[in-house]
Amino acid sequence: MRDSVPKPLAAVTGLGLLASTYLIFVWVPTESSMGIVQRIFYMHVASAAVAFGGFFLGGFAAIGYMLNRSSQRDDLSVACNEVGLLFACVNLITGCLWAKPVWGVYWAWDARLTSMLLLALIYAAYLILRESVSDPGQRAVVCAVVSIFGMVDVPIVYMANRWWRTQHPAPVLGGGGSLDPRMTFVLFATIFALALLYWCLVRQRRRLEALRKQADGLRREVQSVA
Amino acid sequence: MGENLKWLWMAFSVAWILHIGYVVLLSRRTSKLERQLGHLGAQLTERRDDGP
Repeated sequence: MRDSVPKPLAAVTGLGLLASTYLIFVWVPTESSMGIVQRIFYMHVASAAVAFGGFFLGGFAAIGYMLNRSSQRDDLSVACNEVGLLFACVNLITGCLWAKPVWGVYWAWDARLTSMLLLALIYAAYLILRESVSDPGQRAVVCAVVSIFGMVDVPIVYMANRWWRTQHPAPVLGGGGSLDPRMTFVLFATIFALALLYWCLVRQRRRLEALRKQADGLRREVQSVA
Repeated sequence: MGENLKWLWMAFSVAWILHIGYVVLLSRRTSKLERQLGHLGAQLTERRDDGP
């Protein structure tokens, strides 16, 4: 992590995560109907917001790749999508662990939950595809198409609990719901801290991809010399 | 309160285990590639020196 994540960024990220943890567990008031378990909300919603933003970044990088075939755009796209998938998994798992005490079940096959699971599966398929296509040019094009397809799915997931009747509550961000101003503040602080963490991970993942391409090039060179 | 605290603890633990696990995985993959690069570089120099 040392080379790809500058120290000031790492320090701000660490402080942001510590501050958001303090705000979630100490500062924010406890919600009256669900009690202390409602604090999962901050990690759950912030992870979804960061995953959605990440998939958009990955999708735009993929569009950039399709336009100018720059290897750096492909590296950025895979980094954004892989780290985005990590945050989507955090969102799904924290959702299940919040649903159990509140709904009595870990999972309900409603539109929001199912569409989010499908979105995560699209990006899991993207990563499997990336490993299975050997030609670098072909791999980048196929993955860019899947990345753009995944990005198009993000607004559908976001709108799912408005378009269809679901068990999942109405959207908090931009959904007209009422939230205590202190809770809104903590939510945005957590989104900010997780977005910083996301960016650190993307930078490291991008470096890994660049190293991988460098190793592939060297391997070809060694074979040609032999 | 106690029962709810269990779910809260589990949710945050899983979230941080996933994040830390991913950081460890990235670091391992990076060091493995760096080692491979060093090895390939040495191999290339060796073959060039041995060449005609």
